[in-house]
Amino acid sequence: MSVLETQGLTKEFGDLRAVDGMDFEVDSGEIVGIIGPNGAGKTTFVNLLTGVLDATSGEIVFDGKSLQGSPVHDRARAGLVRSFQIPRVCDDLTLVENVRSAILSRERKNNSLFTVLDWEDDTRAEAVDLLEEFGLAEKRETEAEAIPHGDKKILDVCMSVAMRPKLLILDEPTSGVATENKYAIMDRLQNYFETSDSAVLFIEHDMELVADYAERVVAMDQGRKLIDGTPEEVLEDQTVKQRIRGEE
Amino acid sequence: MSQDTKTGVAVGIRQRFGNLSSAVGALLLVGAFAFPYLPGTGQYEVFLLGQILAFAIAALAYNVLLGYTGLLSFGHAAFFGGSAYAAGLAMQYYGMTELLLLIPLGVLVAGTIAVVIGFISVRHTEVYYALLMLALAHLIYVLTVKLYTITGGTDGVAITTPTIAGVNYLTAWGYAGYLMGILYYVILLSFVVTVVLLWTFMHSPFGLTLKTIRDDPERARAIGIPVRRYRWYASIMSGLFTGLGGVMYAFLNGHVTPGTVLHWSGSGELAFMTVLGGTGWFFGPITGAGAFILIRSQAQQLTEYWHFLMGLVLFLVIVFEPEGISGIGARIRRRIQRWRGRGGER
Repeated sequence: MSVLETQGLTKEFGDLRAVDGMDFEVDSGEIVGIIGPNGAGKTTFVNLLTGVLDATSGEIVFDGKSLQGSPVHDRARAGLVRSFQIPRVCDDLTLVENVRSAILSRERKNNSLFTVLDWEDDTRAEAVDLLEEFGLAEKRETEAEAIPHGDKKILDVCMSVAMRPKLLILDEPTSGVATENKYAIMDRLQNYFETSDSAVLFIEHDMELVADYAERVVAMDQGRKLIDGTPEEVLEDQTVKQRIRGEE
Repeated sequence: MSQDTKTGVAVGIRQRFGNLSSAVGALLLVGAFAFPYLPGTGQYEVFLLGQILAFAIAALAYNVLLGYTGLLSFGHAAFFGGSAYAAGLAMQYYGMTELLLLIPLGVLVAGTIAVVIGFISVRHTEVYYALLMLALAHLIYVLTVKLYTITGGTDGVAITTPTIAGVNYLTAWGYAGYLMGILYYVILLSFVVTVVLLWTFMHSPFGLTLKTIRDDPERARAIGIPVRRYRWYASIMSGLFTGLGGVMYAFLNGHVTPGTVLHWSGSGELAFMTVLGGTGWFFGPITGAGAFILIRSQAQQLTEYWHFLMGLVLFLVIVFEPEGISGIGARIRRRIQRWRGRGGER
């Protein structure tokens, strides 16, 4: 059963059609990679899905409901959660506080005024467990501004995972990370992919990572879907080789 | 309440703040309660401390927005003055004299103003939020000046001495007795209640939500936080407690005018106090309000150009210690820790 479905999704900026009639779907628990050259419309597509941008036309159905007019925070609480290409974490908060903030939001506890967080421990325990799972437990009391870029990327994902998404969108989870660390990050994510029943949609430039981790790959170019298939089919496709992989 | 629960709270406070800070806090609290009875303390000193406490309430409330939510407001005079005027006008027109009713009335009016101008202002952020708050609050100032048949215009409103739980302490004890024996304690108690409540709120899930919004609103939205709504809630909370500070100031001063409580420069003074004390520490605005009132009272005695002196202080703080007095405190704490560390190695 599909958790996400788009029909004719289009976004125009003046004369430019950044996303042009995208028909697309993701099944529950499926891991889908999106590839495409710079300017293919991948990030705009993600921004349409998460509600940061409003579509010019077309429809998005998530978990059986239309997302028409639904704001970013409602989509996140419904389980459509994203991570960011340039990690967005709260620099002045500790790692535990960052993750806990997401857990409290998921539990709809933001309005709770009389619970002092120091003295409450169930959401804290969950945050610590999650940081443990992603290998950040040792730094849990460190403020996020003091951790390296790679760790911030993981923390960003960790906050998204804390929402218990039905669909997790990862926007270039390894961008800006040294090549030798990319697999370390992806292995931690792989662990999550295997243990959760969330569907995952990840945008990635590194074709080897896409081949290794995605179950299905969608190639985008000029706002359109170029090809949709298994990693082997898509990565060996002639147009993909020319347009995206830069091969002659 | 059982003995165990009491011990539990004491242990909790010590764990949270450390032995030294808990001891200093307890000492300051005892000192504040004993203050009117200390040798050498007269009406003027009690009045001054009362004023510091009233402004500390408002500055703590101001910091809910500036320090915790990341919103700069130039409209807080509307909450401070709105509640002061509500008390004054209720006394004048409806003969309400009971302090225990006038306080909630003032707070409620400030809260209502915050609901309305907050709702409009949170549609924007940063400088636009600040200016929208300024504009809407200034509207209230101008209306108060122009509708002089109701509000007394620039002459303001006299706050006659209220009764407290039905007793007129002014006739019973005289002014000094009323100020030092009862009004001061009402203000001190309001201050303590404000500290306890706001500290709890800022360390609750609600407080963490505001801090998340302050650090990165887009991240906050991405984890499901309705950012605009929580900025509005924060504005209302800030308005309510600023109103409590305003109504305390009104009773202490005995007279309010648009110029003293509703003018936008009053909002600027609250911003000044908060920045002076430090926005990054919960107790910062208290030290800021204290330093501001003390420096101002000394400067006013020294020269008629006291505004210049205040400007100089603000300039020096922003250039040399943007984290305010609490930043200086943090630096001293780090030095002590380093010094202790070196002692340990020897």
